[in-house]
Amino acid sequence: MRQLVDRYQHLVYTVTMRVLRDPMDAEESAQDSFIKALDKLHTFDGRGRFSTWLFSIAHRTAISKLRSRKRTGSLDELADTSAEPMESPTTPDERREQLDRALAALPPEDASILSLFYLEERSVAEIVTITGLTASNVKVKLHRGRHKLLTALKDHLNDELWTMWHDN
Amino acid sequence: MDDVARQLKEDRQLSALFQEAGHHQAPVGLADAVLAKAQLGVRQEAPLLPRIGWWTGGSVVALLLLAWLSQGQVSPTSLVPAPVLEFLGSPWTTAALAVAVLLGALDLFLARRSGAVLPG
Repeated sequence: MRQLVDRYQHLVYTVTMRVLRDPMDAEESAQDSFIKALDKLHTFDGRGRFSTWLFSIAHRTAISKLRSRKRTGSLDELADTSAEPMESPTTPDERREQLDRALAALPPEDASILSLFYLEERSVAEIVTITGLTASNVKVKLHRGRHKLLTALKDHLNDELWTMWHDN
Repeated sequence: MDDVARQLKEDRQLSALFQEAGHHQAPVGLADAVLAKAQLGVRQEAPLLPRIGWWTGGSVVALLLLAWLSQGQVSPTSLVPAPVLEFLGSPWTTAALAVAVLLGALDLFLARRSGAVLPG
């Protein structure tokens, strides 16, 4: 059981963090996701990838927490889209921070879908399984999200870095 | 550059950006917290009757059943006194036993259903 958590903790935490954008909420949601997964392990039929099944639990747990957070109004949106353009990032942490700031311009579910597509390299069909959305809805969110993310990246990167990155 | 080529290029760039950024690092102690919560769940969901309880209960039920079946053939030399047989054969005893077995089985079923959280 520890091996399972150790192996997937960063992946699951990334999914919950992309949706919730708050480290404490994301950690709690990741814990809940693993508990649910361990509780429902017998329902995994082995036909698809285990990680897809686990992502599905993590994504839906985080979305559910996001909705309850919105209902209670316990936290404001944590996105800071008015920040100054970033200097050239050098470490993975800085790159992730830069990407997170750009992703904050998107609705949380769209940001999560982009992350599943580009980071986890999941197909549209797998994202449908994970999110429970229709294929056409996923495609629309991917298309719209891609456009918004590029615009946000352009806003957040300084001109030199944007030109260097975009014209590569 | 046509739309398809532009989109392919953007896909490649975004993919590279996400891959470079990588995953968020889970907080230290996440695995321990999950294990602690899971073990707490096991303690709450452990079956009330252990295996020995089922064997003992099963034996008692089997003896009662035998006694009840032999009720019609009571003889003066019978080892079980007639009032005891009468008590064992009453609908109340049967119903109480049935309810006990039903609740025990439900308890076992619920414990097995949550067996995925058993350690190891």
